[in-house]
Amino acid sequence: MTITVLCKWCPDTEDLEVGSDGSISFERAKWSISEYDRVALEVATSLATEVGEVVAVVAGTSIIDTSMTRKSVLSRGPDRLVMVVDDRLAEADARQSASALAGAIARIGDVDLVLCGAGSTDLFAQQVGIQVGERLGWPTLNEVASVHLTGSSCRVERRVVDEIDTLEVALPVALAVTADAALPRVPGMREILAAGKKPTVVWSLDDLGPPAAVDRASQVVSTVARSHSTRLQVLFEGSPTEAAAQLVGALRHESLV
Amino acid sequence: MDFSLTDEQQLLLDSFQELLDRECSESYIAELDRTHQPATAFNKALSEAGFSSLGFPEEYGGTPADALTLVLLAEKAAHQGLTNGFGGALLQVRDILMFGSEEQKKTVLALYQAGESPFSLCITEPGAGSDDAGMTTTATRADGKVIINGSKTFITGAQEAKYGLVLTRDLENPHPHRAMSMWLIPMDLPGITIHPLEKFAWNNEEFNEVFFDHVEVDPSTLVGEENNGFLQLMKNFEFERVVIAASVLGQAQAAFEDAARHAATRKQFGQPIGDFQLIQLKLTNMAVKLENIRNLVYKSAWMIDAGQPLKTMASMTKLYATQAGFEIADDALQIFGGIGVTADARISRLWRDMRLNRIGGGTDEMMIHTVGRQIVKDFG
Amino acid sequence: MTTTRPTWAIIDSATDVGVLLGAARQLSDVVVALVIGPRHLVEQASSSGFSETRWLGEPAATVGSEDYAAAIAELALRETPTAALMASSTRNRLLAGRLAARLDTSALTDVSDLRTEDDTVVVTHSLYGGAALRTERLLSAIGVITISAGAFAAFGSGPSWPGPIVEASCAVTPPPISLLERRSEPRSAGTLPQAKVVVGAGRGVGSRDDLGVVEELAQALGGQMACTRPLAEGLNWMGRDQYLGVSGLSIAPDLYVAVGVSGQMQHMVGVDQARVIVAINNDKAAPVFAESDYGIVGDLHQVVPALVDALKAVS
Repeated sequence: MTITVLCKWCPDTEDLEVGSDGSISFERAKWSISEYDRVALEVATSLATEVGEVVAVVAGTSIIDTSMTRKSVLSRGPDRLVMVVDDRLAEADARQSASALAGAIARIGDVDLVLCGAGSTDLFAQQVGIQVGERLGWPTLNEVASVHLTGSSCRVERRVVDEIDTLEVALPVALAVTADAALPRVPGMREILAAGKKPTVVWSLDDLGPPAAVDRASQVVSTVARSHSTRLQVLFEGSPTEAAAQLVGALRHESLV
Repeated sequence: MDFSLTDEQQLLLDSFQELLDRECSESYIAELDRTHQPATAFNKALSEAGFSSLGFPEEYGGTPADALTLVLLAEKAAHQGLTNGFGGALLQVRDILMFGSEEQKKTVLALYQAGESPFSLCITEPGAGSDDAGMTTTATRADGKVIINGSKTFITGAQEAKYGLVLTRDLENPHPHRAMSMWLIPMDLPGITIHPLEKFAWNNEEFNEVFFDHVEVDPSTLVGEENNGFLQLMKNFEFERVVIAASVLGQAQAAFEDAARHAATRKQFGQPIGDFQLIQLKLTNMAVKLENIRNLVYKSAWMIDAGQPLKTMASMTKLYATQAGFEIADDALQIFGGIGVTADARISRLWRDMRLNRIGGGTDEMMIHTVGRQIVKDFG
Repeated sequence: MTTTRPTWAIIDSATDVGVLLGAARQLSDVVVALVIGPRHLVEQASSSGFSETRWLGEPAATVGSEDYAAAIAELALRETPTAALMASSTRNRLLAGRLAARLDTSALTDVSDLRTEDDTVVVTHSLYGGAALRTERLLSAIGVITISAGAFAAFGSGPSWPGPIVEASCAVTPPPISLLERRSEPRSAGTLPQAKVVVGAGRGVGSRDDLGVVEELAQALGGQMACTRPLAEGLNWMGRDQYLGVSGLSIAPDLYVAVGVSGQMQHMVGVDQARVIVAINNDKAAPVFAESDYGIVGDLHQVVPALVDALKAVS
């Protein structure tokens, strides 16, 4: 049985730098695996101890093609890594990413389960995993809070508003998991050293079977920093009692109490 | 000179930071400080994540790691604000790994890897601080047993630890450094009493007086060779000094960052206080000291990894780091003003805890003594 | 400016009707409702001001709006609407993704602004943990768009405006998924999205016991409790559905009181629609104060009880 985990290698949004004109830059940002995808890696690794192989799949521009990316992903449990490296994936939207990843999964072959996190740390559109599943023509679910394999199918829990459904889905299936699904382990030195010895293959978009979508479905007009807060920023000082009284006064003035 | 980290070091630091963010928040550390509790939960988490197997051989279930990696981890735990959060227990374990019996190694490693305190180091005595030779705790052999008598002070973790590593002195031997022996003994034996001492720093570690009143132990509790205890102890002292300096580096960095953020945002006379040159002078001097500490610490670790003799380097590193580190903390406190003195501000804890590094693990004066004596000898 | 092509609003919940109409009218004067749900939902939609209301059917218990993806995609390829709009619910996100894949486009999600320029759809949405706003121009023929909660005003026309209902039930092939159990587990958040006053606890609340102090404040204000992500994920002090921010809930109460919240963008983006924001934090340099209208620097153990007393005194 083969489980693939879709991982995004993205810049840390906390390292975003804002220019005086509102422009933004990730020039000095640290990159890492999208934190939500770490949950998917943990789920896959714990499932695979029973059943088989875990293949991580990462797609992006040549910025992802480093030993650091490989070791970082592989230290979190997968047996091997497939990288789709192509500079045509710069600023890729969900359609491009899903097309490339679905192509990679088709080429890996005999995949039974595709897992990904709820969304990516940078864009958080919560779309790629779903679109991969649909492009593969597989049953696809989001908001999956637990996954258990039961032979040729899997049993999942999914939260939809005020209800939790327990569902049985025949494999193959694509699932986007929530943080409830697992607490990711942090890799120790042993896992990090082992990661350097695991195999990686690198493909370009041209190596993938069906023609992959290479253009965005929308054109980016602008990306600017959210404008500064227009809040009043009034601080009440003095003893807790004095400050509390002043605050209550202000809230009364605003007709809030 | 290449100051870049390997992928493995960087990834391990990333993992460690993830663990710190998850299990060792500032509110957790502040709570330990307020309630005088050890970081038991964090140590368990460290152990579960495999960090307690770092730095000792694979044959004992360990994962080898170089000195620089261990030093970087000690720095990172300290940068989070935790005092003595990583490295101390590992150094103790190394004493046993080098000199202990197979049985002793197993016992100590099992405790350490489970995230528990492996043992409490019982060396300092009321009359023997920097001057180990003044030690008067004795071990006497009688009827196939060993009887320990004496008292120790400033003993960290004595209440928590299952074992104590006790240094004793053969008072009849005129050569003090060839008259000491090490014993790994259970701390719950009859005749051992522990009195906690009140103190104002390192609240996450207790200090105790420990009294040994006719404590009967088995001869197999001897660690290494009889009368070789002092030399055994010295074996890891150098690395310990570097680890202490790494810890200071992390906390000094934290103090500096807190102060710099405060200076950039705190407004007085209509502008951020960071705009005043007197504050900028402080921040600049702090930044320079910080880089100096970093260079000394990393170079010492590099020397250990390169197999170069440290000679007085470890002492120089500890001396400079603890003094400059405390100066950084003190300047940071000054930048904070009154706010910094309140228990809410982390700098108040960093200032208290960093002061103690100039005393613990060898005082500034002993470092100077070690370095100065060697310089005169080298040029004599 | 709007286009002459119709815009679709896909409706599967009564709470989204007015807002979806309001958002869709930013694109077209002709807005067609595609309703998945019971008869009363169709009737509600038809009386809200849509140009046309189509009833795609009432799904069986094991089928969700997401399972209409194939049918809606087929319809869309035939009629080429400007865009299909839907609310940002779990099922609709799945529907949007499946629909987008079938229409070979990329879904535009959580958009906070919608307009047309030169007959093409232009949207704005936030990204990078709420730190930035991106504006994009759709290049594909049909847009698949989910709208951000609280970003669009409901278009209200009153119940006296009944529009035509077209029965357009479509064949839905049930997915190869069997429902073994459905249990009701109301979100601990309850009616948090609708609450007028919300008190949020952050990491600065030192322990689980200290949450009690914060709850007293919520009670005194007649508000509901919420939290930052670390309290819900990791510490598990509060429910996973009670955290506010990028990957959690976004709310727009009259008053949001942040207690022990540092003010990271990832959290604040979930409350920036609040009318008034108050912060209580012991760290004066915490970014939350720059994002607040009123603030008190101090230990929450002292400030919060003082505030509760002051509130009791005025009530």
